[in-house]
Amino acid sequence: MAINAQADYGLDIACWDDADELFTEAVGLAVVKQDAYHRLTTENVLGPQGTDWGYDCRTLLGAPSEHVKVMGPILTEVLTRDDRVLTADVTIDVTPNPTGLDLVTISVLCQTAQGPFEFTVSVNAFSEETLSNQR
Amino acid sequence: MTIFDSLTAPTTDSSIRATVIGYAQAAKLRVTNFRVGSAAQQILETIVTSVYSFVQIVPVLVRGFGSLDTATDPGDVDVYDPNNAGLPPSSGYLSNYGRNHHGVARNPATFATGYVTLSNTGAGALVRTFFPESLVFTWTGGSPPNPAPTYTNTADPSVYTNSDGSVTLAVGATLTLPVSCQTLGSVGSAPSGTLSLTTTLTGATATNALAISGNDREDAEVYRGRCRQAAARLSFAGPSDAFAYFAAKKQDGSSVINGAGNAVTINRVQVSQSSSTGNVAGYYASPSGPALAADVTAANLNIEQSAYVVPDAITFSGVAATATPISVAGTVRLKARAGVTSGAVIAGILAALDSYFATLPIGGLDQDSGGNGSVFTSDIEGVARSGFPGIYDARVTTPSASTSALSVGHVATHVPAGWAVTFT
Repeated sequence: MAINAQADYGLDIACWDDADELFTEAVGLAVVKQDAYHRLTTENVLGPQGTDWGYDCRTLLGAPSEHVKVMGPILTEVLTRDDRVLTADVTIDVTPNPTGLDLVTISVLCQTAQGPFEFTVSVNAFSEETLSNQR
Repeated sequence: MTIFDSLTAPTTDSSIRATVIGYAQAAKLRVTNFRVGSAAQQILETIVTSVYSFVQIVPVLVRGFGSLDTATDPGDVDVYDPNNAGLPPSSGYLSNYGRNHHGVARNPATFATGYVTLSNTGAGALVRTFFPESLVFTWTGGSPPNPAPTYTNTADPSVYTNSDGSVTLAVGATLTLPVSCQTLGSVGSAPSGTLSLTTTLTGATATNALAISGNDREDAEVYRGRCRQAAARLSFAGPSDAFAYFAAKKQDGSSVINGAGNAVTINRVQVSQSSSTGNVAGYYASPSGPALAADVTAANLNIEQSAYVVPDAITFSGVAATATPISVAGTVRLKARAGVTSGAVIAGILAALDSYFATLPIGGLDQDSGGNGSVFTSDIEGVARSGFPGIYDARVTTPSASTSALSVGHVATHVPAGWAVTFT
């Protein structure tokens, strides 16, 4: 099975939270970006070397805000486990929510050999959306 | 590899993965981002995992229903499934196969049972009233296992005669109580005089005048052997297998029970093959050596009176085999690894040798017409080599000869005589 060179990120099925009905494809940097997103939403994946593959940031929900705010370096390490990601800047915002769990937002800016990409994960929304999609 | 082999051996997930990828590539798969955790790789792994789970069913069923040799119960060593030995022992394919095809039940493990004498005669003794399961006894004398097994007093209407189910013990009186080990298996088998009272009762002491015994589950290979012998129980001609079978099993396939109420532990029987005088001799052995006297009595009773195996023209005598101790010493070599100690290696070797000697036929291997055989030193070396992972060389220095003679009716017993471990 071929592993693509760093400069050629190849082609994959486009899958952010789920693939669409037509199994649309993702190419190049988009492939790395969706893999990085999955690193922050999945702890273990199937197959060899799938244990401790990523970090499920939903585990941050309900944690003390001072604990959540210092998770940045850990998430950076998780993102750079992918050798295509050269650097990763992670910013975690915790917004107090007097009526429920604090709102946790993770902003990611990564550098690759073919340029940067960024995305934001609203952990609270991610949890709700994912659970509803999985029904 | 035969067709049967391919049906009994489980398919590995790596071979399924290779097959699935092959199909995908043949179907002109466009995905090239095959990294761990990528979307397409996870879809592929989902298929691999599903197929893997599904295809395991077929070899498990084939092994379970296909033959006596491939069927196992949970807890048995299974060459096809390394995890099986670690499961809690219970009835499974092997027990069902033996029961359904051969009409033979597999002996389960039992809690060791026996009697203790409770003496209420010490200083400060009081009148004591107690119920079953209210007292605890511990194996403290001799060389108890670690942790030391504990025992409780069990119900017996002839002992607990008070109307509420209790019994009252007067000052200065003694009472014999039935007890049962709280741990399953032979680990609770305690020699006489080794139990003591753990529950604090001022002035009271207890010990067991007789040994307390319990059994492990019938060994899988012994059980398979009994199943193969079972057909002989239908013969009126007194074949040797019938004597061997009825030494431990009844006509209905259940276990022969000795006078102490335990299933006999006879796991090997040697029967003389021919006689010009009509005399047939049977020799019995248990995993630890010669059979217990109570087991010999029970076996003979079953053979001669319960099952009527012995034709009128035959004179049968069944006795315990005679122990022939074989001292075993040697050297082994293995690569040094972190955490591996000489003690652990030697313990593994001794356990393997104990297991080997526990099933070695009475009279040994390669027997002549008179039932005299040998124990082969090269076999002992092979067993020692398998005693611990990583041993690449094993030499037996004692016995020094290539074979040790074993006469008819003699059972070899293992005597550890020292092992030297060399790490390289």
